[in-house]
Amino acid sequence: MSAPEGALPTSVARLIEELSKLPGIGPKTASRLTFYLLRAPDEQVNALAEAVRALKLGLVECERCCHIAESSPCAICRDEGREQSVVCVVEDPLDVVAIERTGAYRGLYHVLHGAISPVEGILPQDLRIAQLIARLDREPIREVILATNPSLEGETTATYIVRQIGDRPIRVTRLARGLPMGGDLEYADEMTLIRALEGRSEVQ
Amino acid sequence: MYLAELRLINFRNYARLEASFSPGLIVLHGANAQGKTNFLEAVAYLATARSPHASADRELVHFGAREEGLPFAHVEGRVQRADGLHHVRVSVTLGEQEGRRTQKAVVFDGRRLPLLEYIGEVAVIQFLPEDISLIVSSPAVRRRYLDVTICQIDRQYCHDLARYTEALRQRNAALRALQEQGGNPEVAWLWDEPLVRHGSYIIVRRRQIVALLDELVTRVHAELTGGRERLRLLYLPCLELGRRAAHQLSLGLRPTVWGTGRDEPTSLHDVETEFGERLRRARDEELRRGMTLIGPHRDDLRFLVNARDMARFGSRGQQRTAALALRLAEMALIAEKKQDAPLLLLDDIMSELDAHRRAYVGRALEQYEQAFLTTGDLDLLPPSLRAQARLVRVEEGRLVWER
Repeated sequence: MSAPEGALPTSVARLIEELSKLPGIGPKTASRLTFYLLRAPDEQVNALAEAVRALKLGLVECERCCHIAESSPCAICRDEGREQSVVCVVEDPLDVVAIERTGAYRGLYHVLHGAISPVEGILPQDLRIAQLIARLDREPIREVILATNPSLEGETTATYIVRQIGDRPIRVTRLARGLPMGGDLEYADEMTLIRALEGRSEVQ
Repeated sequence: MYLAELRLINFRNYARLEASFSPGLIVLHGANAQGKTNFLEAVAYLATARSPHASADRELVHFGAREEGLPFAHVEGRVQRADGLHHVRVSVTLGEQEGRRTQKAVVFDGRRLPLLEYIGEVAVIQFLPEDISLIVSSPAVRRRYLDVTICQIDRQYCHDLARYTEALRQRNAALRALQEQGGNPEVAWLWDEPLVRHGSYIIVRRRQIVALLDELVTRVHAELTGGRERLRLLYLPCLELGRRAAHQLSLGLRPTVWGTGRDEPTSLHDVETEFGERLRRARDEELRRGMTLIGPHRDDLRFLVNARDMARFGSRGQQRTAALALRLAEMALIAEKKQDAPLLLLDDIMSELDAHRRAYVGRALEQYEQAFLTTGDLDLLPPSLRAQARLVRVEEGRLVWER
């Protein structure tokens, strides 16, 4: 769908090409975005350019929890008001955002940057698992919450971490799986229902 | 159940089609390459969201669709089930350009469903000219047959199969990497747990269903052959396919292979224990060969007529009869499990059968809720069947009702 040579100015063609490399964006969407920007006010276009340019400048990985941050240790790790004895292990930085948004968790995090998947060539040594184990030996951590995704890869990664923790005197927990709030039992898929039944809990 | 309405847009050679059907036998006839098989394929696609013929969904989209600016195919239908009338639409949308993914969506009663949640809502049995390959082809064809059949009646099986396949892929990738580059084998054994958990359910279900099919197939086959031959269907699981089973098969003894007797209940737990144990013992060999050697992905089925293996010793006619008996058994199994008759699709099977077998199939169809049958030659239909069938001539992607 790329335009014939010379049909569009080079700068326009180049932006379309770059945008269409992004996930979820095809050549049509890329063209639409490009022409939108062409007509947008200068300030808006410059702000976007600046944001893109600054994205990777000065970005570091927190030496403690491996979350992406502007400085290391990150803001969460520096916050002394947070519970220092609980670590929540997640696959990606966006998972931290999701849990933080709840406001219900006041402990620390550890970001693995993926899940074990030999098909994609991702092995335990490619993740921040060794860093997690080192933390457990260094910090006064009493509970590890495994919040990897409820996918085959996420489950397997959790299993691997459990084995690495071994017999250290640490409580290891896994996020509950079950019915979404506001959901209708009738419309829940069968796997979710089975999981919810398996993970049922006592009513006080 | 029966198909009450079918609507096709850009499916194969059907640019547009709208048709209503009543219960009973519907015979589609006409010259070759007019769309008889494509019609059955569309009904199968509506029921399973999978084509029995196309290797990729994009092949299903009418070749003119892209020029028309409508690069998609729709198969839409209303199905009258015992529990009421249901609406289904399966659509395939081609990617904007080469290399982009083809997308498929299933909407059932107004709700978009993941494929795994849809399978089994509309049950279908397909009699295909290539069914003889169920007997003579590779074990993979027979495993696929079992999977397709069981998925229609057990959604849990569908889920476990999908999970098992994924775990197997991961484990094999890990084993291959270890074979090539070495490293800590722990990364392969990590997948044992999901492999065993999902695989054991598959084994137990296959065993139960094959035992049921075995009973049915023996009865049907005896009727097809006038009682002269006795067909048995055996499950040969990779687990337990020890020397004992192979030994008995070769001696032609009455088979007591694991998976045939229904009086020896095996719990899921026992299978899990055995599976896990066998995997642990196979570790060295798996590391050497770089693949998973134990599990239901290596199961097989055996067809024995009078204790002789059909795949190796059967005549072409015997193999064909065995395949037909298997489909008829499957039909009875699914009708019983679902408490509703599945749709029947019979693609040009009469020409392969002798008069006696044609008459038998005819009698089975006469009482059936709804069946679509294609033929190039109406004279091949038993007269009584022909008398009660609705006849449709298929001409260049159109249906012409004759009666």
